[in-house]
Amino acid sequence: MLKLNGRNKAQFFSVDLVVAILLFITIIISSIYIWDYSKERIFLAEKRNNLNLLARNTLSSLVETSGNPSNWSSIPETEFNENNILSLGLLKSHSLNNYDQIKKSRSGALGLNNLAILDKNKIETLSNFNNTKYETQKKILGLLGPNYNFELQIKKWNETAFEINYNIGIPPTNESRNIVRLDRFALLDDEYVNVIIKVWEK
Amino acid sequence: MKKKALIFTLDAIFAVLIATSIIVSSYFYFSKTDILTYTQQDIYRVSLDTLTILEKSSTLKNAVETSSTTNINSFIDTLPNRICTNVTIFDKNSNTVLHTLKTGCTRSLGERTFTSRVFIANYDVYYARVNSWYE
Repeated sequence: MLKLNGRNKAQFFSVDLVVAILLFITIIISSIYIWDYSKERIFLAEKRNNLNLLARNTLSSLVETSGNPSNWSSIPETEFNENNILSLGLLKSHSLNNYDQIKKSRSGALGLNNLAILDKNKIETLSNFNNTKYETQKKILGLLGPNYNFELQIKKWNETAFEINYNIGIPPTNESRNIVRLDRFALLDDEYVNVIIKVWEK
Repeated sequence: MKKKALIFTLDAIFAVLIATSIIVSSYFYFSKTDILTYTQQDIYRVSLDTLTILEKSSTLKNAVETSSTTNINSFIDTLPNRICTNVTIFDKNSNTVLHTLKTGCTRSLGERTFTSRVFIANYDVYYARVNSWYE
């Protein structure tokens, strides 16, 4: 015991306190670690969800609409841009002269046209412009995220398996991250087709 | 003789246990991501596609007229392996006319989606119901 100026002084020190401090530090450190880990996981999950949502919207637009304007496949390559084409869709439009007409607004519930029937001409236009207009296609499809890319495959049923008929966009590589793949089904030339979109990050 | 003792209380143990359980459970809660909504949407859309294709290609109509599900099966068997589906056709009195299940699938135990569509065959009204689930 320390004696100073005739008064007794002591240092408070107990094993309890040491244990409490150690526990406190352990809990704080593990909380920080867990917080950081959770944040990272949530960030990655959100990013993937975002790509999922984009892929869904893009594929819905392609398989469920004929695009806007619906005669976009007749627009020459030099005018193929986001100012002239508001959205891309692969469904057959009804007009005989390849331009919008009244029939487009009619219900197709029992008709043989409308939903699920893809237009070969539109698919070929998208495929032909792939090398020169890939960035424009991405913009019109709404894939605006940084380093986002897409690959669109149209596979026809050959009675035993689906085989690739059209491959549009850029296929993902081994280095690609967050690859989201979605499938839809439609008809092309009276045959079943599997429309696959892969949206991925470089 | 000097005696030393450790202060040891149940309170302290409870406090540590509660703090640890809060941290661990918050970790599990926050790091969990739910993709069920998306997968349900996917299967719903595939069901809709199935019905639309079967209707637009006149497969439903022909199936009723020939009382055969062969052509329906030839399409539903092409669906991705992980997706199971069955197609049931009812008449206007809700009696089952035809029923078929994708080859290799068993009855579903989990979440399912239903889509229905009305069509005409034999100058009468029928409706088809597609029921899909993940294998």
